[in-house]
Amino acid sequence: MPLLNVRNVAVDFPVLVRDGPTRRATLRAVDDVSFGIDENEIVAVVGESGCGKTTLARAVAGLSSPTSGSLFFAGEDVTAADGPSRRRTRRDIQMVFQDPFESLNPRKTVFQTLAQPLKIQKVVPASDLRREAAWLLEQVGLSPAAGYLDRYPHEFSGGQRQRICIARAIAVRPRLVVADEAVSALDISIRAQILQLFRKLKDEFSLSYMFITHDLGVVRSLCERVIVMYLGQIVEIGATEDVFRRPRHPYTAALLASSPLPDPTMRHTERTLLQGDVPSPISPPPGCRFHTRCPMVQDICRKTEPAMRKVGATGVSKCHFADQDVAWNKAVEQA
Amino acid sequence: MTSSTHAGGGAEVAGSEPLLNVVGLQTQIRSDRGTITPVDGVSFHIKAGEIVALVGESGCGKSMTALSTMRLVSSPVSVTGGQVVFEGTDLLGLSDRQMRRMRGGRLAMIFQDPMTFLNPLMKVADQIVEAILLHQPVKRREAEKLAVEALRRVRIPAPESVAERFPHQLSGGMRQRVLIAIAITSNPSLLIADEPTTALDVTVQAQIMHLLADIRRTAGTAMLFITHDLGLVAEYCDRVYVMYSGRVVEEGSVFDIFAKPRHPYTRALLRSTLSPGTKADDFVSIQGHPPAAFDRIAGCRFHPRCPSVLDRCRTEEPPTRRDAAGAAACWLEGAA
Amino acid sequence: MTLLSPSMRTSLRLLKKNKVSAGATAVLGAVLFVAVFGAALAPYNPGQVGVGPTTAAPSPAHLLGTDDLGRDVFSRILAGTRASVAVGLSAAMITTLIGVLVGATAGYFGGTIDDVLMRITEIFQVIPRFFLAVLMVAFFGANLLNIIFAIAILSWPETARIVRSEFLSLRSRQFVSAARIAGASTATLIFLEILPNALGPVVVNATLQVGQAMILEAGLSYLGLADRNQVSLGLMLFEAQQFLRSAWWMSLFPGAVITLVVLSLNLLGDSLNDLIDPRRRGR
Repeated sequence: MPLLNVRNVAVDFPVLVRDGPTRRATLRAVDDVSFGIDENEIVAVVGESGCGKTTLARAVAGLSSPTSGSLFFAGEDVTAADGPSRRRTRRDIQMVFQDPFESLNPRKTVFQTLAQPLKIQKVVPASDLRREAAWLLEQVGLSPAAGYLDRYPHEFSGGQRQRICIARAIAVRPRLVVADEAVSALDISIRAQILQLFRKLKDEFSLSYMFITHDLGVVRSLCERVIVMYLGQIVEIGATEDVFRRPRHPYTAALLASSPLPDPTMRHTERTLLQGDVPSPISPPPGCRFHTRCPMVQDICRKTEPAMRKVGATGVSKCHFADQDVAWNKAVEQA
Repeated sequence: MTSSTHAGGGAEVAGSEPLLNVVGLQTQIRSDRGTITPVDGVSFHIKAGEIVALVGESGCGKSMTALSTMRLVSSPVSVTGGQVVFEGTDLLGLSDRQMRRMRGGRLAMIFQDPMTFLNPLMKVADQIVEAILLHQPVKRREAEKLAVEALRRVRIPAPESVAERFPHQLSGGMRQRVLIAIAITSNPSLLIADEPTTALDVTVQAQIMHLLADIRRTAGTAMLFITHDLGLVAEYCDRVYVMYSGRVVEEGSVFDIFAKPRHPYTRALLRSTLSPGTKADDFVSIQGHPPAAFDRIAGCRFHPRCPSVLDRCRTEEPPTRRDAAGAAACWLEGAA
Repeated sequence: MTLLSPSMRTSLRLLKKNKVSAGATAVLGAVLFVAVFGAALAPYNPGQVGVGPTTAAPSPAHLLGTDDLGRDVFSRILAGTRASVAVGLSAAMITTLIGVLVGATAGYFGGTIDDVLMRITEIFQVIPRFFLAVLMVAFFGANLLNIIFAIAILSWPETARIVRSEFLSLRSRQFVSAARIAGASTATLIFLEILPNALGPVVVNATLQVGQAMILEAGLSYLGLADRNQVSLGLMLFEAQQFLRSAWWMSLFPGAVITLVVLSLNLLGDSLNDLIDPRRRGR
């Protein structure tokens, strides 16, 4: 049984559309998404803006309730964001956000920030709060902690703030940490430090991660499995090495081909560039959602939505041609 | 000064003057907390048709270098020293009026966020027409045709209809294309691109980078590419300048820099960069964090984070040592 | 949690550098001092009739002259300032309280709750304030408490709108989400996470509200709707009406005090605003 089990989850938002006369519409940000995350596993969710990855993260973390579908955590139904079973499992799922400048309350000292979850979830008795907060800071590499506890967020650099955010997340001893672009806003050298911290904490606190990112370098170096999303849907899931060696969906292949490699001897000579932008998720294309940009598009793609099909040993792909040997997945393999 | 080895332009081929030659550029910001120097004696050159990367982490002064080169700084920021010689003219000696003619003419620039540059109340066509009329002796009717042509050149589908739209009706990638269209209407010989794809999705980034590479190939436009993304550097650039804390610490061809980095900072940066191409099990990160603008560091500015620091590095600033392959400012250079 | 964040403390230091706001702060300090200790400073009993000749011009014995009943204008100004400041401060406090509650509720919950509360706010905003104040005080009786309530009930919409817009932008911030995930209750989120970050504009607005309340009080009093048992600057102006020509000191001095205090409050509010809004902080 997976630790987190997401079954056919959809999340709708009411939106105002302003092309011509303003009208109300529904945006299906996440559409029929199913996947699982195992104990002590790192799963990446990748995709471009508007693919629904952050919405999905917020639903998993209990910040919003799915419109339909269900979320199970350790077998317990936690679908409703404010339901009783969610409250019971609050401690188990924590989140680290993208922007370390926005995710700490500027009016609170580091101690106050760390004490809040400790107090609410009664992790330690009140008399031990300071000692516990100091210990947490040391776990995330901020030592000597005594020098940090009574300072305000603006006195820290971006990397240090993200460490504080991570300390806050692990304070209640969660089992799953949802990291939403947690290293995207950081400088290269800091990004590597924080990723190493995530690795270290995974072992020490036996954590699972749901790692939302658009950076394929991060995915390959940190994550064991990868979920690729496009316009609210999952288009491919697979073991990281399998997906990178041989993507089974043309969108995954395009993402890989678009990601520059930090090695001038491996320049993509013949790359398949995707044309155009991501279509509006308010009115997604019929058939396969990727067909408007797909370099391999066929007639069937415009009419029929592809089913999820099994590929390789463990993967799935939402492409009509996923299990055929076609040009796009071979080309990438050579690159 | 340490950059004295760069005197005379430093071009490898004698007699071929670089298109842009920046020598000892210094930019300061005055505030009530004192004066800081985000660009401190930066020298670099760009030859015709070359794509040169200026790479570094936030706060290293790379964007400020670009803005200073374009003289797009205003109080309390000011360029306090150095030379910026573009096509034989020292830009720092020009009057504001002459400089305005230069910008958007032979010398163009694009930015990370096109919305700060585009007028939200003007149609795309009108903004391009305005730019054309400013620099070319053509009639309005002619300029309108050129505007649509420019949109076509940056591969905007259905350029006639896009021309009639307002910036907010366009996607981020489209806006960046419009900005590029405006920049290339005057056939500049140098385009300065300050993180032009940082805000874009990776597939759109690839389109824009491809477009820029194409413009270089067809029009011979040289580019100064400001970025923190070593992947983009490796993929698209010819030569690289690595900046740290207001200084250039290493320069070289893109192949040399990636194959045999000479400065410990460059090495560390490369080792911290995660590639989608290979699985890095033990990527090494640099300790500490990049210095803030008002941190004053004695000796080599990288020494507090350097894994191979010598006693000398703490007190004396290393000179830039130059050879045929490139240059690096590190005490280990001479010792090795 | 401290009311003032470190960045605001820096701002206060900067505030001291600004001469205009320093002047305003000095005036307000003096006024506050008078409001608290005025009674002890007064040379005469402000309410006592005939401490000097009637309508006497300023003289060493009566620094600011006397009124038509022979009361000492200086002593009455000291007492009146206390009443006006009391009205201003209490009205502003109630205004802020109502405004914060309504604005925070509307901004945090959004949706239908927001729509309903904002329509109510708008109704209060479109009614001519002064006219309604006159009606309310005339109807419920002219005593200090009623005046304060009338002013507060008419002034809160502005505060509510400010608080609402702050909450709208703050509620989706990641630190609020983080507290929610930690299990914080809605009350904690509103009052301990969001509100402290919205206080800057609220404090500025409250400063301005004190001045506006004092003006409203003076206006009401001038029309004869003052609490006759309590000397206030507005009441003094009302009583001076008939003597505008013959005894200018009866109207000029209380009028000048009101003008000075309200002007100082506005200047202080403006510079607080400049300091809080980074876009206006200048470089």
